[in-house]
Amino acid sequence: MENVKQAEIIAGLAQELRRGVVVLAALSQLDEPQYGYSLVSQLGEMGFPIEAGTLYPLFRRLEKQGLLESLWDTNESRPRKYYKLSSMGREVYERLCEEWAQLVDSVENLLKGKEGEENGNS
Amino acid sequence: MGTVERYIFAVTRRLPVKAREEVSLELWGLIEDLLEERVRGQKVSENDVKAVLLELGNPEDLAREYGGEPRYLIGPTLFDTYLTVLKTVGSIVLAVVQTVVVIRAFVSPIGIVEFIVSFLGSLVAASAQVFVWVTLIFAAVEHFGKEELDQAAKGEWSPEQLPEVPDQKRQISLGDPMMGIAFSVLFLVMYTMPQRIGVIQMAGGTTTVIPVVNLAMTSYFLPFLIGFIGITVIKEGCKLFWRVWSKRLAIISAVCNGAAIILAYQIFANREFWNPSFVQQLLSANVAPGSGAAEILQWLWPFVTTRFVYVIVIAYVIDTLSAFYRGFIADREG
Repeated sequence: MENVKQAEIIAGLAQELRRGVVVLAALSQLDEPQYGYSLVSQLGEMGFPIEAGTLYPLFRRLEKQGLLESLWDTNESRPRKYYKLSSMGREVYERLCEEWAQLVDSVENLLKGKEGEENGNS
Repeated sequence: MGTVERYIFAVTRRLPVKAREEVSLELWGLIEDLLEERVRGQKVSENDVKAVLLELGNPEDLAREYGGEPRYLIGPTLFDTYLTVLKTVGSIVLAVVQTVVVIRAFVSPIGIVEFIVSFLGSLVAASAQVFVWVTLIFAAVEHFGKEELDQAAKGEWSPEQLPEVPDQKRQISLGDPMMGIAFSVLFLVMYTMPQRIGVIQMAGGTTTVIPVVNLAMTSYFLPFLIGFIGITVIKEGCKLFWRVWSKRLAIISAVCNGAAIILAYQIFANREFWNPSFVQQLLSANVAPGSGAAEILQWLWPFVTTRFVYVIVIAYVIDTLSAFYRGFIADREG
């Protein structure tokens, strides 16, 4: 019973951790135009699975904020909306990458420091 | 494909109108992609559709991800204010309604059961009215003033905006302002039936009332009196709204009292307000027999009526001083 609860807590927290990175992950793959489902499959193949129900609304939000540009392709069997980075989106993406690098650095430092301490104690 | 259509409708109906068409097209594409991926050239069965939709999740959640229309009437920014206004307006209206019902029962006496029924009925009806109107107004503000509200909520916050911690000494009880409103309304209602308010003389089975005020002038004075009572109700309403004495409330009280005093002068200091032949009518009705009584009345009536306004002025000055004491000085002590 306790273990089930603990697993639930871990799953919830891990999801929260991932949620913050979803934007960065999506932006990273949008140099070339992609439609929603192609990005879902691509991210899944690359080990960052994301639900379509999260990505599609995210695309709309990012487009509204001006980070993405969109284009309807009506030539194929079914109409698809393609998204790619706008010039502003590219800038934002680069800045976010810097932020991410810093965040990884400092969190790693924190985690390593903790490990070192444990090693020192033992 | 009926299920897919229903699913898409369940999502898009929660979205702003202008987003619906595009989102539904996108979702169509997505679901077809998912189905194709799932069956890989085979025929799509209803079970496949269900599995794909289950994967996409509850349409309500998906609509929320899309940032659909707000699903509330009054949002968290407004809700506290809404509750306070509801309580304030509610207590004012209840005070007024109670007074009116009681007066009505006095003027045209009814049985006790009938009285209780009409009393409770009026309370329920008035509460419902207050609830509906206050809620409607706030819902409209929420709906049409959304952007301004968000802006205000985002605006700079400063520690000065912190509300005072309620202090027992400066707490305003619920009863006092409600009594104030009730009596003001009682006064106003009485003035709308001046022929009934006066010295009652019962002789030989007939009842005559010698009115205190000048019946010919009531339509002239009524607007002033409504203003006078209205200002008082506003002042008491502010007390009910904040429920705590503050400098702001003290100043509002002072301004209201000042205006009320000016109006009181227009009304009660004017000789036309009072019944000019009150004493004669009283004497001719033989209410006060004896010649000495006549002289006393001849002197007493103008004495009382000309000074009535002072009583009101003094009451309002005391009220103002007490407001200032509780708003300013008690503040410093606290």
